[in-house]
Amino acid sequence: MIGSRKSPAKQPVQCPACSHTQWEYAAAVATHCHECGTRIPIQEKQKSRDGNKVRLHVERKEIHCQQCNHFMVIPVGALSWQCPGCSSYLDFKDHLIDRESTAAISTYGKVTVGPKGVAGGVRTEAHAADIAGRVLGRLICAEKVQLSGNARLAAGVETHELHVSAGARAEIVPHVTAPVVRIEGRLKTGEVLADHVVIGPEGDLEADMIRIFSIQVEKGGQCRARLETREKPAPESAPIQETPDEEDPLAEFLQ
Amino acid sequence: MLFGSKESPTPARPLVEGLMKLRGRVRLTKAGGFAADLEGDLFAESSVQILPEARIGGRLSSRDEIVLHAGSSVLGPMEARALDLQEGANYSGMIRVGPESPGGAP
Repeated sequence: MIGSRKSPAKQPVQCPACSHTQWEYAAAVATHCHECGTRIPIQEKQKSRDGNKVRLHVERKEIHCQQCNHFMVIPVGALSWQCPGCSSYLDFKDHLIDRESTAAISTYGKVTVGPKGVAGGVRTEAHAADIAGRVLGRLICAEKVQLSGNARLAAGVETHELHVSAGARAEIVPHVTAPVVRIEGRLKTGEVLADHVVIGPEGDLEADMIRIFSIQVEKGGQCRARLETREKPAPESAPIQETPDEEDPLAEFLQ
Repeated sequence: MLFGSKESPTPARPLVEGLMKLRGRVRLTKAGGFAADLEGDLFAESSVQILPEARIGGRLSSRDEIVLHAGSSVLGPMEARALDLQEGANYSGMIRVGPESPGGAP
């Protein structure tokens, strides 16, 4: 009879990584979380309910997709992943560039450009970077960029922290955007937009313009630039709550 | 000591302070603080601390270190051997900081 066929039984399954609950067929062996993409072993979970405890000890980390900002929880050891939000391929590998390369790199790992390396992609995105050679495109890092040797960044850098190592003779065109800038070697650049700049005893910063909240040049260090302090944006005021004109009708009863 | 972990100095006792408005050149011959309103140049023979509420509209130079405390304001070129510009200080101008800086020369 048409319509009398029952669909297979389903059960709620909770993701071990993000706790998202979704309905899955009871007979399924495993599935993937619709929220974060983590593999959920259903049958093994069943067994554990039956007393055979199976626990997966996989170290995980939280990330946001570089393309769509989707939040994910992924195994630490993963070399690649697919974003459940926008289906982008996500690279977690470290990249070493020790010769000329034109590849555009977008990784959650670390990019290392050796003294003879040239990262020729229009844009290089990474979690962190160690640069001793040349980067022709814009360099964007979530954490730290370390410059050493004769590092040259031809299209600027945007990072959380920029560190110019002792002995380095680095050059960045046209500008640096980094909340924290630490200079122990030499850096020549156009504009620096930072919160805090520290120039050590061997450090030397030459720039057209520096815009900062604070700067410290220790004795022995050098700095030549036009300097302007930035003003912190005023904190957003709390929304004004309207007080009702009428008296609370419950007030009489509460008295 | 950790790189960049130098503690901010506590404000020095002011050598020049109060509701004083100065015009012209001021030379400080010993280390200390400055807390006045100066329309002109300030030369310090040794380290100088520009204290909160101090205003300088002119050249600021020191043969040693310059500290700009939060609340101070300097508009003009600055030369010194070392510099500590703290968050909340207001500055705009050309800076030349280093061992070869001629800071302090009038």
